[in-house]
This record gives sequence, C-alpha cells and structure tokens, in this order.
Amino acid sequence: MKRRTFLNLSAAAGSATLFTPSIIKAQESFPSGPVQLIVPFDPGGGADRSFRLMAPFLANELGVPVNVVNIAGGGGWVAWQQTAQWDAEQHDHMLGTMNFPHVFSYLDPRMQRPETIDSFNLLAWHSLDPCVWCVRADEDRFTDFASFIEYVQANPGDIVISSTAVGSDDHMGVAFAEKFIDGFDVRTIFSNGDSQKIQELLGGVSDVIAANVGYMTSFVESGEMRWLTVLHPDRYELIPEVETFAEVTGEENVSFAGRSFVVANGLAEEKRAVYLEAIERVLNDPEYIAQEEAMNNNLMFLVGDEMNALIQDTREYVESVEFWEAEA
Amino acid sequence: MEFLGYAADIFSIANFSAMLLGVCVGLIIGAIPGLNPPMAIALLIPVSFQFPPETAIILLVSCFAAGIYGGSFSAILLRAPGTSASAASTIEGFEMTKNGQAIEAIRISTFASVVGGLLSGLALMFLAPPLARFSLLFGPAEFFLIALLGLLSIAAVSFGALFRGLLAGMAGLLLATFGTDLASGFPRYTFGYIGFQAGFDILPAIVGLFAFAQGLELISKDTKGTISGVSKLSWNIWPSLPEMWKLRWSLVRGWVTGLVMGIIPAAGASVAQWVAYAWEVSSAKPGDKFGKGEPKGLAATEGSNNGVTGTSLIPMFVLGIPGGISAAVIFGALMIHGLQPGMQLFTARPEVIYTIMWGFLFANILMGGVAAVVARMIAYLTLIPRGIIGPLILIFSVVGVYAGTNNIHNVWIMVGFGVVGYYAQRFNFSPAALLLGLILGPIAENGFRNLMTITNNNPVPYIMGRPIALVILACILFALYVAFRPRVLQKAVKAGPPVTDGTDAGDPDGDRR
Repeated sequence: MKRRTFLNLSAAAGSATLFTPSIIKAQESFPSGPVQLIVPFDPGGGADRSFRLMAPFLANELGVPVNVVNIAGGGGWVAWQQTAQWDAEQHDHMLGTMNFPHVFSYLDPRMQRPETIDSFNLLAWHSLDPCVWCVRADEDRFTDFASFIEYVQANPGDIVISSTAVGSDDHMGVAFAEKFIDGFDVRTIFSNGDSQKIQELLGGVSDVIAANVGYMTSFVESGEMRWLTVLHPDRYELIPEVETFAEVTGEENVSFAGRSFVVANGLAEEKRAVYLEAIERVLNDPEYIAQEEAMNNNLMFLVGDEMNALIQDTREYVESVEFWEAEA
Repeated sequence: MEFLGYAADIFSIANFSAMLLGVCVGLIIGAIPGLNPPMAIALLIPVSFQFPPETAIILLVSCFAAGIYGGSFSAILLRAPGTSASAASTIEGFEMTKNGQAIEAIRISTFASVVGGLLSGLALMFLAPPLARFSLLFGPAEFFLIALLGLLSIAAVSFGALFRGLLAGMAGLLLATFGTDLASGFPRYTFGYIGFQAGFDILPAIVGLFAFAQGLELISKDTKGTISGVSKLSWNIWPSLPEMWKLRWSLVRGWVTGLVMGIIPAAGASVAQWVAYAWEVSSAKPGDKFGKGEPKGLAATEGSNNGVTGTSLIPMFVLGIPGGISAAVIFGALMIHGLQPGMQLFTARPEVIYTIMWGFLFANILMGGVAAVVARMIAYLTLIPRGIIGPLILIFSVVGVYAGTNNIHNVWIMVGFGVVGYYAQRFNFSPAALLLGLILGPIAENGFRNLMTITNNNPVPYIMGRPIALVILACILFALYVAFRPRVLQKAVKAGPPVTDGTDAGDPDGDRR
C-alpha cells in the first residue's frame, strides 16, 4: 500500500462524477426490472449486513427493487467466478460485490485460479475498514505498541494472536509482521470469523486479537479491550489516539477489509453510469451514512484511477507478504 | 424486576402482528428442506426496516424460534428435515409416523419445543449476564472435547451395527477435511473443483442424506402405499398431561442439554440434538424401542433443539458475540436498528431489550398454537401415496437447496449425499453417523490444532487446569462407561450365572471369568 494513495483518498471520495445527457436518457429505461445485488458470503457477516442496509437506498435511487442474493462458497470465489462470466446484455441487472484483499487469494499458486483482477469490471469502491490489533483492557505486560514489540522480541513464541483464516486481511497483517519485523515470533490461532476470536481474547485463551476497527470499537468503548495498533498509513480518523504500525516499527503494514462493486464485463457505458450515479448518491445520503456509522462502517466512495491505485497497492501488499510461502 | 413492566408492551397490535408474521414465515421456511432459519431471518430484515427496533427484533426472534421448530414437521412426517437442528428427530419421529403415530409425534414435538423454547426464553431473561460470562470459559480445549462428546453419539445412532456406524462416522470426518484449510490456506481435496473449495456446507449434506435419500427410498418400492400405512389420522392435536408426564425425564434431559449447549458458541442446536439423543439412549430402560419409534427419543431431541434457541442469543445480546449463523443475522439486524449489542444494551435501552425478550417468550406460545393447526394439515402428506410424495420431496430438495444457497454446486453436492444416504440407509451404515462426523469434524480439528498451538503441543497439563474441560472429559468417560457396561453385563449373563463370590453379573470383572 502506498502512502500517496491514501493521501488522495479523502479528496477523491468527495469528488463528483460527470454525467452526459445520454445517461439521463438511459436512466428512464434502465434498469427495467429488479436488480440482484450479489453478496459472496453467507447472511450474517459484515458484507451481508452492510449491503442489506444499502439495498433499500439503492432501490430508491434506481427506481426498481434491489434484492440481496447471497452466493457463498470458495471464500467468495463461487460468486466471483460467476461475476467474471456475466454477459453484458443478459446480466445487466446484476450488481456484484467484491472484498479486498480476499479476492487476491488467486495470487496463492495453490488455489490454481484462472481469474485475475483484470477478469472483473470494477465499478466503484464502497467502504474500507482498517485492521487493528487489540488486547484485553487488563493486560499489564505491555502498555503500548512499542512495549508490545519489545515484549514479543524478548519472549519469542510467548504471545498468542487470534486471527481469521490464512489469506484474510487480519492474517495478512500478522504475516507481514512475522516477515518484516526482526524477532517477531508469535503463535497464531485461526478461526472462521470474529466471534470466536473475541471469545478467545476475552476468555484469556489468546493475548491479542487481529480484527477490524468497525467491530472492535464497541468492545473498546465498553472497557473490555484496548487498542494496540492500527494497520493504516496515517492515524485513522475514527480512532486518532491509536498509533499506526509504521509509526512504531518503521514498516508500513497496511491491511484492511475493503468492499467494492462489480458489473458484467463489457456492460454498456450508459448502464454502468446509471449504477455509478445511484451508488454515489446513496454513499452521500446522510441517512445511509448515519446508519453505517452506527455500525462503525467507514464508507469510502472511490472510482477510476483512485480506486485502481488502491487496488494496485493492495495487490503489491499481498504479493510482498506472500502468506502462502510462510504457511505452505 | 423492571422487566415485568415491559411485558404489556408486546400486546400492541404492531408487536403482536410482527410476532405472528415471524412465526408463520419461520414455520413455513423451516419446514422446507434447504431453506433454513438464517435465510428466513435475513429475508425479513428489509421488512423490519419499517418497524421500531423492538418490533423489528421481535419479528426476527419469533422467526428464529419457529424456524427451528418448523424443521421438525418435515423431519417427523417425511424424514426430510427442514433444518440442521431437526435431523436427529427423523430417527424416532419418522419411525413413529411409519407406525401410524404421526399426530402423537407432532404432539410430543410441539410440547417439547414450546416448553423448551419457553425455558430457554426464561433463561435469556433472568440469567443472561452470568450465563454470558460462563460462555467465555470455552476455548479450544473445550471445543475439541465437546466435539469428542458429540462423536460418542455415533454409538447411539448405529443401532447395533456399531462397526458400520463408526465407518460412516469416519467417512463423515474425512469429508469434513475437504476445503481450504483455515490454518495453512491449503485447498484440501478440492480436485480443482470450486464447489469443494469451502468444504461441504452442512445444509446440502443434511438435505441429501435425509430428504433426498428418503425421496429415492419412497419411489423405489410400494409406490401405491402411504408413509403412515393408515388411512385416517387422529384429530387430537393438543398434548395431554398424562402423555407428557410419562416422558418427563426424557423431556428434562432434552431441555437441559439444549439450554446448556445453547450457551456454548459454535455448538448450537445441530450438536445439542445428537448429544440429547445419545443421553436418552444411554438412559434406556428394558422395553424401550430406540430406532423403532421410541417417543422418549423424540421428546429429547425436540426438547433440546428449541431449548437452544433462547440461550444461544445470550452471548450475542450480552457480549456482542453471535454464537451461530441465526444469531449473527439477528446481531446484524440489531446494529442496523441502531442497537449495539453488549451489556450497555441492558442498561441504556432496557425497554427495548426486555420487550424483545418478552416477545421471544410469547412467540413460543403463539408458535405452539399456530403449529398445532398447521402440523395437522401437513400430516395429511403422510396419507398421500409414496409414488407422489417421493418425487415431490426430490423436487423440493433440489429447489430448496438452490433457493437457499443460490449455489448450483451445492445442488450437486446434495444429490451426491442423497445417493450416499440412500445406500447407507439400505446397508445399515448410519447416515446420522456420517452427518455427525461432518458437523463435528471441523469443530474438533480447529479446536485440536488451536489447543496444540496455545499449549506448545503439550495439552494435558493445560486441560487439567481448565474446570469446564475436566467436566466435559468426565462426561466423555461416563458416556463410555455407560456404553460399554451393558455389553459386559450381557456377556456375563451369556456366560452363565456368576460364581458366588460376592460379585454380581454387572461386575466388570465378570468378563474375565
């Protein structure tokens, strides 16, 4: 992840997209029926929650019903494989969603996936939730991230970190530290989702949880946990008091859970623009923003070069971590 | 006692309507193989946007309770469980149906489920904070041992064919290793097929092993006969006190199992029902006909799966940790409605949380009333010729799995499990044992690997220092003792009267004589 990308994000997030009169004409006839919003995971997860919340707002903007359809499996790839094969005419009422860095699991040669990021027609970026490490509030072996690093280096193999599965954004942050920080020797235990990790940390099974700011905020606010570090290029605006990984270690470890929209390859430009305009309006709708903020979700509307730069940086980060080499 | 004041709030027209809608949707979706409670709850979330928070969540928790119960209709009447929580009820429930006791089975199921749900709701209302803290005592060691305890149920569902049951269980454990490994990211046994990449979903496996296999069984012979073998059904749909009194200890065992297993994250109803059934079999008395339509077995499984419902919401409400998929969907809905789960919900918004809990309690009662009437109508399916009902089950299995998961790979996987289930049943390789391996394999594997990591490959001293782990270990040893004791007894009896040395035939040493 490059620092320049993030420095440009806030400006880009507020920038307006230009539309031609032909798009306004297309809006009158497209979409002509219900739109399927594809969520590549089971109901109940963060992506499902956010897109179910967004669906009625999007329906209002598009003027047609928007149905959330969960196509789970293969770590998102059952849905993404279909998305890559959508026909521009036949599947023009399908709006896909894609999670970063999860989609870069194709970089793992063991997965033998034929698709790459270029197989998808990415439309816009939706949200970004930085990775964060937390400890129990009563943890007394270290007071801040610097003393944590010192403790790990002085006590190799002593600290247990709860992480989501290998290849997840949470694991990538840990794998980066293991690869690039001298003497960063920890034991990692894996789970399928956040619930088990929180259970492990609060139950004293593990010492640190690797998760995202959005879900952890309530546990810190309730006094059960405290922040250790955030894996973000700069101090993160929602938790400005928390030191970044780079501040303390000098290594830019930037990992996050990001979501974006995808449409069929070759979709007519005017149809693409209809979706884009509707998404932008929703992401600027104060009512929707307030509801997402209540869930601690950080919306971030990005398109074009800014979005592509963020995707490119994410890919470079995953390639540098090479988690498949460490865990093979 | 402030929560008593909120009881009246649930009798508003909006709250009562939400409860009724949730119960009806839950019962219908729960009864269709392939469509499960989380999907039903997720479908209702957009509807819930129109309501104030407490009404919205009452809608969803009512749907959750009824969804778990609805799955039992199809399990009992057709051997086609609608949800993973009702698979164990196929064993005794469907046998009762075949014996012409469909309505009796529904009566037991209704009573066990409604009271189980009520007890679970009361635990949710009165004991939520302390029980939530209890749930934090479960770590990798406890998960691993619970999975082992669950695997012991294989002995209970093998019905005399223990070796074949164990083989089926091992096949289930092997299949559970398919998919991308959590701890290394390695795609195990995927053969390059994307449908295997995330491993086998439990839902298509259950629909295949039971519902689809049952459809095949029904069309394979006697297509003009009916499932129940009778032409008339009893009209007596309300449970009677003497009838339930006879089953009291089975019900209590089922409810206790459900209430306890509900608090344990990741265990839930799909594990609780098997543990309850195994406990029931191990408590069998002479004359009990387990595997041939024993009402006690049904009472235990049905009591346990609804006993789970309320307590499984406790870690979600109090700690913000949803223990299962349904709880996760309700968790999301709470947040969408601006309610941040956690202890602060009880102090900052007591009017909302206690109205929801009252709603859950009354939804269970309402569910009993609606279900008794609906079940009576569904029971007529058992009077339809097998040649008609069989293909309908096959169609519903395919459509249900596709509609429930939107994943064509899952349909093929379901059909594969269906064929396996058909032959497994025919040759007495317990499909339930295979399912147990599939459900418990990932819990056991993840628990064991994490246990080895946190203990530096030295788990024994760690387990010795964990009270809950020791209790589960004691349960495992007790279950093994109970499982082997009767055989020793039988062998001793076959060997002839014991030598009069002061020991009885139950003495384990009898084997050596």
